[in-house]
Amino acid sequence: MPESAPYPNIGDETGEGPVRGSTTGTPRWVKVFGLIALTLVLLVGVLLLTGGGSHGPGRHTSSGDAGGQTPPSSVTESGSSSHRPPAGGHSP
Amino acid sequence: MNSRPRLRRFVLTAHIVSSVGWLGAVAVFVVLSVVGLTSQDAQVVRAVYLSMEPAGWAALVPLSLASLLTGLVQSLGTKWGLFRHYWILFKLLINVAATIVLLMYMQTLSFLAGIAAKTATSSGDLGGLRSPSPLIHAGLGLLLLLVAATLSVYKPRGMTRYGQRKQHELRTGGVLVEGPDERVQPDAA
Repeated sequence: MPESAPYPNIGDETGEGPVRGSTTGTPRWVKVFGLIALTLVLLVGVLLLTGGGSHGPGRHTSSGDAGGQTPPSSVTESGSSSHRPPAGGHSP
Repeated sequence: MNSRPRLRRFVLTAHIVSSVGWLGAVAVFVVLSVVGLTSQDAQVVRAVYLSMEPAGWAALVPLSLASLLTGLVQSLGTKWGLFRHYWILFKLLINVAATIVLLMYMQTLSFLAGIAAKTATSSGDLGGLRSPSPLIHAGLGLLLLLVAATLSVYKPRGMTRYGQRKQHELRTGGVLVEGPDERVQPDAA
């Protein structure tokens, strides 16, 4: 005699219950999500390329684009010496 | 046997807790980023950028890795699979992409914390300290994680070609030995 599950409602979550979603073809929501994802990837790629490699902390802190102010000399000096953005890494 | 269902529920609970915890931690980073951009108190601004790095290592990174790991175990350990359903595939891509960007962005948070540590506390220095970068990244990250959470709840229909092929194999009984969860072949193959 099969033992009934103490938490029958989560069978769908744990994979114990029947899995639905056996539709054929690519659903419309997948195409929409894929299009959005592709657009975002291309957008980020274009932004990175047009940034000329200056996509990094220095872009935000030393170019003065935050509030139109330039950083104090102490900040830029320390940033350029001991806190240079890591080479080769993601430097947003 | 009850061990497998109990184990699955434990992994599912860990996955939900880590994923929702990650989402909440990112939401806090959005708030911190806004405070860092808008506060007129130099001490507060410095504290924001100084605290982001340790908070990232202590909360964001462990939660993201836990979410990814438990998600992999949860999908591979059940008949949901990892590449069978589009919504799981999208969640995997979101999780992997967000984790990679987070790990790389930790270097930037370290950079910002270094600037904050060396910046004078007078309000005149705040312009050089403020950065929209954390808000941009945390905001986009929050959006992605909200999409992932929504996919988890709604589970929109749609199987990949691989999933349809595996489902056909299940129906023909070619790869099963005990039941629908006892797969012979690993799903991630």
